[in-house]
Amino acid sequence: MADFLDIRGLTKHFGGILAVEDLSLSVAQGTVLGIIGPNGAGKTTVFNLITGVYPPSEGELLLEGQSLAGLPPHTIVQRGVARTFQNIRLFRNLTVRQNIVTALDLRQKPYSLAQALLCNPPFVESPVKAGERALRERAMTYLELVGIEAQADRRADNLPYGLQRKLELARALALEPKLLLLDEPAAGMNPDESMELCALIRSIQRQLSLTVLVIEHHMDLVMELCDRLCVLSFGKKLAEGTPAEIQSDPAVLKAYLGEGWVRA
Amino acid sequence: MTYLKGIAILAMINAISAVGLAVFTGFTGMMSLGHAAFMAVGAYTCAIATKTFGLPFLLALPLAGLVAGLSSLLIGIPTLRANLRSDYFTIATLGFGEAMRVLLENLTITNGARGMAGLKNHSTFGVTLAVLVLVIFFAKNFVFSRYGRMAIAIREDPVAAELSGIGLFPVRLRSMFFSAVCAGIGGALMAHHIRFIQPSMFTGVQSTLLTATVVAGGMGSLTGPVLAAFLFAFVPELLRVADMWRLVAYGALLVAIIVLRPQGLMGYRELSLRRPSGRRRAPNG
Ligand SMILES: Nc1ncnc2c1ncn2[C@@H]1O[C@H](COP(=O)(O)OP(=O)(O)OP(=O)(O)O)[C@@H](O)[C@H]1O
Ligand SMILES: [Mg+2]
Repeated sequence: MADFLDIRGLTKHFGGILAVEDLSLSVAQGTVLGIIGPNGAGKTTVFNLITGVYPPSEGELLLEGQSLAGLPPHTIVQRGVARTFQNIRLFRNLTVRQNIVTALDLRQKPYSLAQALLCNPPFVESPVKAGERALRERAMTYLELVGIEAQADRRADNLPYGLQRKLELARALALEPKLLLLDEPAAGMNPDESMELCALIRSIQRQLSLTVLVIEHHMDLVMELCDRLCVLSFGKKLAEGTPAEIQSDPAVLKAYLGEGWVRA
Repeated sequence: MTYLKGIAILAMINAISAVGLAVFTGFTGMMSLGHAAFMAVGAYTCAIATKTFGLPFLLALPLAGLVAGLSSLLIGIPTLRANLRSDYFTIATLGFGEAMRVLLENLTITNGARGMAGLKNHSTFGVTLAVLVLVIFFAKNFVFSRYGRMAIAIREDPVAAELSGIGLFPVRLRSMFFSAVCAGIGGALMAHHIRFIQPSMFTGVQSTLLTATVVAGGMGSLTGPVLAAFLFAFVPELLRVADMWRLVAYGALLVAIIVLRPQGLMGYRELSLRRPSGRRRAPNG
């Protein structure tokens, strides 16, 4: 049986740079895979390839047996893939709540363009106003899920950094994905905050039975959160296995974790 | 009085085109330097329909909007599908505007560079005001809906928008079509206000003025560009400057707004009767 996500011989070059080289990877449904590796290893590029930001130079990407390679990002999102970004990308001038509502539009289409244009007089109840109200209410459930409902009416770019990351997570969840890609979700957080985020991601992942790919440099979080790990170095897969296996893999220790690394 | 009325009509006509362009520029984040072309298409469509084919004005006016909208597909489909970098897109619109002017100068039905004279005065104060109110109504319904929200998402961050399931091409094309319809209607009203049109009225200068009106009015605002359209029409008149100096007055006003209020008169806000400070957040909130 084919795995949930199947990456075969994935390669991407940017001019002369081989960002990802002949990467093969299988991810089972409902598991968390961590992707680790030094800076410039090609981790974010793998996410960009899965989500269609760039087409692969070579190789195949299969989600539940269906090819994603060459599809535009918005189609890939419809297939059930959502992600967050290493450099936060929010709709900055919108409120926190409207950031979520924007994502909800993918699955909920409460009214048509004709209704929006013609059947929405001011001060009178209309399908548009009812639809918008429903969307705003639904958005709150996602804000509650990550615990930022109190910030609903603030402008997204006025949020502190850590909460912006949580908002990005909530927006990705609002797309109701099957596969969630998190690019350094704990970047810029202190150890306490990152362990709290780890628990949050775990609980959401179980609750929604999501398959998660996570890129992260916080080793404690990675070891705690992930069922399996894939180590990238210079675009190639260096090792793959359970966190325990990776921790004791001599090649990994040498290339990435450094000699004297011990689990905190 | 008729003098003031004339300026007010001109201001409203510019406001109609500016509201349309606000949807494209202020809400979808696309810069155009060719929207005078759509005004031209609307103006000529309406003039030919009424003068050459004897169509009633109230039929010719929506027709002008429709034809202008369709003409926007000519430039919109290839450039927006190719997802050009934004500056390249803007240059493409500039080229389109020039091409349209040259085309109008060389067609027989448009009477070439001499233009069309003797048009009837249909753009009364009442008609223009009614059209402006309608255009604002539609624009407001558009930007306050999920369709406007998709456009705003693209303006805020195209990559994040795409990865929220929003296709860039259809949304941008829809906004462009809407803005072209408004520009076409504005052009048609202009034709029947000035009662004479020729291709040289629809140059890059006119396009630039339209975009300047939207930028000065404020990105992400509908009422801002309306306000700016009135300012740009009345301030040079109040100063009673003529011809060349009028353009200098425009320029000075624009520079003053950009320096004093970089976000535009009403950036990301709307004038609202309910809260006088304009603090209402929607459609961005
Ligand atoms: N759009 C691009 N154009 C050219 N080169 C790129 C592009 N995107 C990534 N690269 C290059 O590909 C390589 C891998 O980059 P990538 O961002 O995937 O690394 P990463 O593992 O995510 O690193 P980090 O831990 O710093 O985020 C780098 O050498 C980078 O410079
Ligand atoms: Mg990265």
